[in-house]
Amino acid sequence: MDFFIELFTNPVGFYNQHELLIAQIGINAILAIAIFVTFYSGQLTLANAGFMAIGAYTTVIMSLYLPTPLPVNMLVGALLAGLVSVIVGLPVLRLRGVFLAIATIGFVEALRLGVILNVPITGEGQGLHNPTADPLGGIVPILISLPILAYLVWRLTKTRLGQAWSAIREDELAASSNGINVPLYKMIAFIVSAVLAGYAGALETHINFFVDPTEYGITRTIQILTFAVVGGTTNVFGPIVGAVFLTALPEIVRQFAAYRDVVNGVILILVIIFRPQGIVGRGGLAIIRPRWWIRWRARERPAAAH
Amino acid sequence: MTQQVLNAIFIGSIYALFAVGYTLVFGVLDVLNLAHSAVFMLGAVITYSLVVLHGLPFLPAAIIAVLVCGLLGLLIEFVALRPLRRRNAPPISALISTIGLALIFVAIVEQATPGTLFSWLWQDGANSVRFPSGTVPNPTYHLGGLTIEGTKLGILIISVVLMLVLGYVIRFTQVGRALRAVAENRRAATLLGINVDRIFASTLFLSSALGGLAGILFGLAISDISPYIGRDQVELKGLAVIVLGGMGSIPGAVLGGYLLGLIEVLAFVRFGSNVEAGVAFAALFLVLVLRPQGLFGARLRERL
Amino acid sequence: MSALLQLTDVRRHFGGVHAVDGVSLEIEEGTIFGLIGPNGAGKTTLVNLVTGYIRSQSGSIRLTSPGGTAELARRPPHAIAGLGIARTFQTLRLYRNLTAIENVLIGMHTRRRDDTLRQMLPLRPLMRLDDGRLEEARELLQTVGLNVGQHGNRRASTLSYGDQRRLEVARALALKPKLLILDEPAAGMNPAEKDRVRDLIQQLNEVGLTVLLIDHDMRLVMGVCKRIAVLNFGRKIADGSPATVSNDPAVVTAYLGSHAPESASHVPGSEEMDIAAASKPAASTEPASPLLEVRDLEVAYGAIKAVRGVSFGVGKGEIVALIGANGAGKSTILNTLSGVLRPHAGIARFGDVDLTTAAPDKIVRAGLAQVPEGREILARLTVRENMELGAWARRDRGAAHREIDQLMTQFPILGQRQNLPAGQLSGGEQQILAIARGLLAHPRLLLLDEPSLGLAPQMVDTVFEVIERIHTEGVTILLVEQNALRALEIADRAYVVETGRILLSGTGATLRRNPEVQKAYLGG
Repeated sequence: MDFFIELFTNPVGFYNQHELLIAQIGINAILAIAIFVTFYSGQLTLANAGFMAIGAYTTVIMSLYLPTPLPVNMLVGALLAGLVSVIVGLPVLRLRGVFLAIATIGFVEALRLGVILNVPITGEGQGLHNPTADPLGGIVPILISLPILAYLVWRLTKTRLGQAWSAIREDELAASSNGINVPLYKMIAFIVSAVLAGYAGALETHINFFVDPTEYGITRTIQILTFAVVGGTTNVFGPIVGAVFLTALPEIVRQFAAYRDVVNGVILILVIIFRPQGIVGRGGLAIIRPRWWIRWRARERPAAAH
Repeated sequence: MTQQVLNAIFIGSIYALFAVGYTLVFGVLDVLNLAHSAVFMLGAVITYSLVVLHGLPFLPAAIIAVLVCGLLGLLIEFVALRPLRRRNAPPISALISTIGLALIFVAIVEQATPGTLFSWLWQDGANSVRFPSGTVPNPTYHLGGLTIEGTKLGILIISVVLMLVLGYVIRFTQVGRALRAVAENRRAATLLGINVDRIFASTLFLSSALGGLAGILFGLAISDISPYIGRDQVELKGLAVIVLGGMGSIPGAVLGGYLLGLIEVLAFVRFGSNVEAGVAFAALFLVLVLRPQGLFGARLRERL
Repeated sequence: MSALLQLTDVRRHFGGVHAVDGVSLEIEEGTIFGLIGPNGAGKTTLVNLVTGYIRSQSGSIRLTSPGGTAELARRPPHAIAGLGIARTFQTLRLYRNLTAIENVLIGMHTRRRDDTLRQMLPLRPLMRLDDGRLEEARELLQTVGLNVGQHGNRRASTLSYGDQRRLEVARALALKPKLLILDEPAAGMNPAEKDRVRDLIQQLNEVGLTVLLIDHDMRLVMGVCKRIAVLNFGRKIADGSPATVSNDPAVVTAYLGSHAPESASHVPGSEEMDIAAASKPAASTEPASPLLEVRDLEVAYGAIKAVRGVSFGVGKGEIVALIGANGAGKSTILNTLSGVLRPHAGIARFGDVDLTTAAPDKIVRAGLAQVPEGREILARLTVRENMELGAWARRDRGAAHREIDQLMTQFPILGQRQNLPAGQLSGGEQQILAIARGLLAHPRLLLLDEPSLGLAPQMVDTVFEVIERIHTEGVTILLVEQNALRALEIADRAYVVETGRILLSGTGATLRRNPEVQKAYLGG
């Protein structure tokens, strides 16, 4: 609880003390936005850790061997992730549900084990040392990017493209009958998600001195998945809330920090069974809607209650 | 080379045993139980715990561990699966809730060091251990230039016997028929008077017992027991196997298991150890893209 | 009038089944064209071929418009929608969690060519564009008869069933289509609602919209279509005006089977009928101490009230039939009796078992077995294994084995094919297997759900012979059938079910001679 006390009574001091945590929260939030985009279009793709890896490694490798400035490296990393997503997506996006999930996990692991661990330039098992890392300065681009990206994705969901994604999510076959080119729009969602994940990966290398191949495996992907599940996927703020909550949780509840994964697991199960729409359910921040609230609203609008 | 093929068969048996449990649940319940790999790990951990921390001889320890794993299967059904079925939740939810359970299982073992809450179960935290030598008799046989370890031979025999027994039960007993009926058409099975909930529970028990046993055999054969053996060693390989063989097909899982063992060994011989792991996933990827139903699976089509 | 849509020798088969077997037809611009046929005739498959969800294997599908002629075969669904063909779905496919207005807005997708990037910034001019579309969406909702204020912002899944069907039409109209395909738009509706659907279709056609209508309701189809094509087993067996088609002997046979009574010279239901008004329920001879007793049963699927207060009884040794149109609620009743569905009101008692609360497996053990609609054979298990599972609920395995052998002699087809996967049997053979399987449970009451569904007329004869045979051997039967006349021939008593209610009851003979029943039997 002292966590919150500090947060509210001494925000500046809090900031200085917890900079790395805030930076990590920011990055996780961007990753959450990435997985939101694919979820919003109805696709359970678990490839984000792989695209993160592409963004991260590209940035650092370019920093090590090329004179290009850092922002350029990061951009290239993100775009390369987007490019790879096209190659991966073409065969894979035809699959549905569980099969899509498995195929994307397969991609991530194949990338990690097959490519990263075997190509000398990536430093193989040892990872890479990042010379341009700037843990304290690195937080600034994160804090700037996050709201911009959140805003852009939010607006995106309101456009014709976003509505098409909603349609695909609700019923792919009906969406086709309404003239929506389902394979194309799914691919677009996948690419956007990959670029965002790549960007997040690039950002993350900026605050770490080290690029570690074990970071980009299945565990990471599942972690990102939990942000989305716990936060809720009806709008873009859900996964962001989930990311903030779950990343900060071990800090808030220090004594359980060691059992963080147990807590995560329990939260995941409880949420998926009892509140599958997540923290940010439909229509805003509804943490808990007690029964009397629902009944009261139903009474207000009798026509709505059927 | 032939020595390597032998290794492929041994490891393939373990993959097959693990995958059979996986595919059994998917075939009957239409659910991918991602806690299966955690149960695999717990089979090894519990046996290790009973032998090393509590001094039981190996055989009773293994039997107890297998039964406990079966009970964990029931836990998975009652905690992670049944509540979702009652709420008509979409299939993805079951995926997520089993992931949650897997997280919990692994974390409990990971955190178990001397003096902590679960130190009666495990004391080595995140480290990897092995069964002390002599836990099981391990004579070495030499046959025409090949070296065959007793344990590995035992593993092969146990796996094959189990798979034959399972095959017999499924094909020739009334319970096996009921299982196949539920897998094929839940509604028709209900109308025949089959208690589908009970079948689900039995399937989870059986599947998890098999998974736990596979873990024990793995711990013996590879001399590696840690909280991560499920996740790192078999989780994705198990997926690759059942996709390869066809999800829901038991013969497919068996065949796929040996096939994967073979592919891995060949890749190892040809390219070295680093590529070996990636090969499994490359295979998975290719199968999903070219022939999603695997070798023996049925085609999936949606009704308009 | 020129042809808007032209199908020429379209074919599609699945394995050995010829779902669509060389169908050719022409839909004139500005008309309402009907497509009818028994269940499984290939109607929806044909629609799916036209709209691109299934690829045709040969033949052509041409759409003619002022811009030219386009070949539709082998184009993806979204492209065909883009060419101006909109459809509704037999199974109702709304965007359930989106609001009604949002559903309609998505229907406009092909007409919204605006720039997504510009849409990302909430500037004034774009808002006006959106307002224009919102206005149009509201108008469309009103056109189909939905109250915008009341329903516009409600999630589609919360609307009543009739309103959901209407919404789907509105969404299809948002495309501004040249051709609107309605696949069973009136399914599950009561006569009043169906009339409103009919009015809507006519209203849309009056402004020049070409409509292709598929439905089981003869009255609806004959009343509104200028021209009708009839499919059976994938082939077109008739094509012409409603009058021509309803008097075509081939059509009559397809719907009634070979036992059409002499007085039926046309497809029943093709004239105006009003069964509810014209007849009074015959004095029902309910059994004194029924084996099965049902009172005031009410069952709903979400918003759809499938069964609205049904009461009947079945006495020991009887055959009782429930007849009525497709979607009347008959199967729902059977599924509730088997414990697969739960009613929200009413009583269903079988001996001393309360069917509304007992678990399905307990119900089977208590002696109530069902042979489900569509047979629900376990296709990958062998014939013998299917039968062995029929005895699942019994304790006496030894006796069960003997009975299986007996049944195999009684029905030689089963004996011959006992080791084949059941999926390889023909429809009629599967039906016999399903009945034998049901018998093995030693039921005191056997529920038969649409045993003649999708069977060729000769097989229907065989199946009904089997039913009569097992009845004489003492099995009590509750039979649900669309093929009313066959059912009434063998039933001791029967009830006519329409939109979830029982309209008439009486002995089989009485109802069979009832002219209203003859006229009103809806062939779908």
